[in-house]
Amino acid sequence: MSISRSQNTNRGAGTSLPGTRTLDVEVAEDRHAESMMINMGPQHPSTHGVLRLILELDGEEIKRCEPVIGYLHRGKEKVGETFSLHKFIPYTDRLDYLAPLSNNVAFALACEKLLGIECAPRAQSIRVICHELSRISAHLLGLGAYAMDLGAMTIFLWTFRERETIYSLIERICGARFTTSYTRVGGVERDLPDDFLGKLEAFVKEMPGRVDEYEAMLSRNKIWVKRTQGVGIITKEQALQFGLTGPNLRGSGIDYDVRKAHPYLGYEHYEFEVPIGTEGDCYDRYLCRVMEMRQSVRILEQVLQTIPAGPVLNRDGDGVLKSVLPEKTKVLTNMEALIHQFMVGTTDVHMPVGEVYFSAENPKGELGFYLRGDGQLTPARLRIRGPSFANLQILTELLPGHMIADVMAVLGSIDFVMGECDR
Amino acid sequence: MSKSASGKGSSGAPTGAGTGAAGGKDAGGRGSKVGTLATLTNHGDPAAAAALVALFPAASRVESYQGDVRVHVAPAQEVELIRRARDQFGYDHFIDRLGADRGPEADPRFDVITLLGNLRTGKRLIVVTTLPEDEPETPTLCAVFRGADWFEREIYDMYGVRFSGHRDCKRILMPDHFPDFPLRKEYPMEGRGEFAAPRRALGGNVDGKDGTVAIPSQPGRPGPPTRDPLDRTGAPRP
Amino acid sequence: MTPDTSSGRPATRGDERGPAPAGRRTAELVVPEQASDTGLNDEGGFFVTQVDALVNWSRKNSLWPLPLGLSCCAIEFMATAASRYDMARFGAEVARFSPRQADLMLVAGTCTYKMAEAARRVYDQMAEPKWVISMGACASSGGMYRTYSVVQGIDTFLPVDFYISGCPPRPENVLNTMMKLQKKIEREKTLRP
Repeated sequence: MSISRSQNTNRGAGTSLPGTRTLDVEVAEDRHAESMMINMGPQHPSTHGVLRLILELDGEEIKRCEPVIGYLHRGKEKVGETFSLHKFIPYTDRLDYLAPLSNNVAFALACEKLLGIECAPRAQSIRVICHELSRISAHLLGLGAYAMDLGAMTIFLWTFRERETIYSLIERICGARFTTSYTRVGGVERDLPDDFLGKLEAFVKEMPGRVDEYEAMLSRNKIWVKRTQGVGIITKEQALQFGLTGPNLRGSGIDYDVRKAHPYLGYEHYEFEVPIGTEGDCYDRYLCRVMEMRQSVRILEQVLQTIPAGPVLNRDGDGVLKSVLPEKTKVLTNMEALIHQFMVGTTDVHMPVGEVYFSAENPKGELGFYLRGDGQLTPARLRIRGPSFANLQILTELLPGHMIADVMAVLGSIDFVMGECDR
Repeated sequence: MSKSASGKGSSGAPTGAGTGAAGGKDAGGRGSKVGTLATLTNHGDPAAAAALVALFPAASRVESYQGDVRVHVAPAQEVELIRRARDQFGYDHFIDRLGADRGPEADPRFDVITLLGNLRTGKRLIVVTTLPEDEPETPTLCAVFRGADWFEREIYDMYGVRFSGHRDCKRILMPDHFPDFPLRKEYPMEGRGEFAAPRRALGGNVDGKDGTVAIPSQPGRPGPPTRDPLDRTGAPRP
Repeated sequence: MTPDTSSGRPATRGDERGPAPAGRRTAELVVPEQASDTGLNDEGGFFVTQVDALVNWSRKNSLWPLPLGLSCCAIEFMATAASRYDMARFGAEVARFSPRQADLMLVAGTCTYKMAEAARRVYDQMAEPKWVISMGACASSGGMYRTYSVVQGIDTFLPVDFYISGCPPRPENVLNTMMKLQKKIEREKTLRP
């Protein structure tokens, strides 16, 4: 629809009416050919952290999308090469900061794989409790923030109510609500308090009812369904090519859960199901997360039945004393224990020569650690394979063709966190 | 809008079956957690790796540690080997692509490591190629796995390794004009003070004096010592 | 009731140290030079004090935060805003993500050099009066990240009113700091010299 020049010129005295004058207007041939560049972020309520999206829009439709990341790059891999394994544990809390205990567990297992140390049996169950509690916690926040982005603020407040309960539980375990630094090589830092299992049982009893509440609000809500079904469809081929993991992969119909494929911490003994989607759209990923919460509760119930007694740090075996913290009661009375406490906690532990990769099924996906040791005191390479780094890359292929309002739906359903994306 | 209930819940088939792992279901019965290391150290498939390497006899070898199987290959054959692994051996899940620095004295210096997963057998494969320091360049993997895009940009950003054929290999985590490669071993963790100049443009002269900030303190009580926080020469803070 | 400048004293509250720098508010203890009970001295006295008190009261009880949620501290900020700790009781009901509509910039999380430019721009877009709280160890001093990409304290490019320590600070700590900020706002002099 272009207005050509000739229409607007009324040259010639014979054609113009008295009292009017002609306007010589030059208009672009096709004014709709230009697209608009919009910058979303890095400070934006819906980008879930410091993500920047450069969107090229044709009206409401996105023609091109380029995510810019790195606004939270804190140099953790460099820190990993500078500090010893134990000193790095607090840095792992801040990777996926919605589920700090999960990161602790993944890192401790990677260290144990490299050093060849078994985890104490009771600590394995405690770690499973931590892993699943933080999975519930992360999914709750993901769901709450996702719903809030799409306008349902109630869900945010409701999920935070449950998160506060989980925070109280975590605080009972290790003293901190949030950045826990709870696991150690060979086990966990301290044993559970006496009343903890009772409180966990109470939480496990009430949680399914709460999840029912969320589903009642969202799953058949017309607005929710319209905004998430058919939006952001990720095909199986895309998911495999981009290395998606977690609910993003399973929402597209691929049956892969690290807890089933490469079981750790005794997951092969627990009965639980892995929800798999069919369409690969935002709604499927949302449902995967909700159902995963229910399965996590199921796992917690089983752990409550089977948690063994015993020490929470494995101090048996060769080479263990050089990597595992000694008993605190002995540290102040026994010279050898004191020396080992200093060696392991303050100075560094000699790494073996070799490289391993270990990954755990974190709430956001597969969090992996590639550790290389070369006999020195610090790792030669500590690579953090953050699931959100791979998950975010798909936006370049996924968003074009969608409308700008769908960006919130897609971002919330991918459920990434910049801490593990930028590291 | 007639979408019937959603994702079907299915119990994921234990894809690690048949490996004879000691951490199997009968090890001490339910609840017994003996032997976690056994399930951590059975992630590799040495037979498949050996068969893969047999297709690329020049400059290839297989190593393993704690059950993880690594295939070392020459840079020129890396992309082809990964393509074969994907098409012929079923390693079609792209997990990771990372760089590593063996140190300034090592020659060749930079590793490029790719992690692949086979979802059917549940095994992982690690492919390693090593590049010299003076010309760290290798072909891009983007033709085989589109997801390698950002991973290769990060390797360039952190190590300076170039990927020929990449559509736009620019920095991804650091600002675009950052002058150095942070994960190289000789680069200090604290940095080298690269950001002094941009800071002035940020309006760092908050109180008319460069480098100081007026903190609302009671009269008579001194504020923090005047220092340039971007001074990374290694001098200790006052 | 404009202050009388005939005596040569500067009209603004910058006093002998020079005019107050743009965008900067310092809090000072209010010690009026002449205690006047008639309210008819040069500076307006009682009347402007009451207007000031009203203005400050309304500002402190309607602080709208702009959460510059950079990393983990943002999650604790969200917990502070949620129902258990409920920042809304203090008037900070709406977290306005647009700088044009916010008074208080709460920098929550690690600020990298790449992000600092954006953070500064957001601060510049806020309208006066505005305050900045640096939440957490990373924003206050770089925290546990003494690395090449992390700004060692946002006070290198932003004027900070309060620092909250903690990694992350508990919500009670955040609320405590907001209350302190409210006390500080009470003492501010808008009309008074």
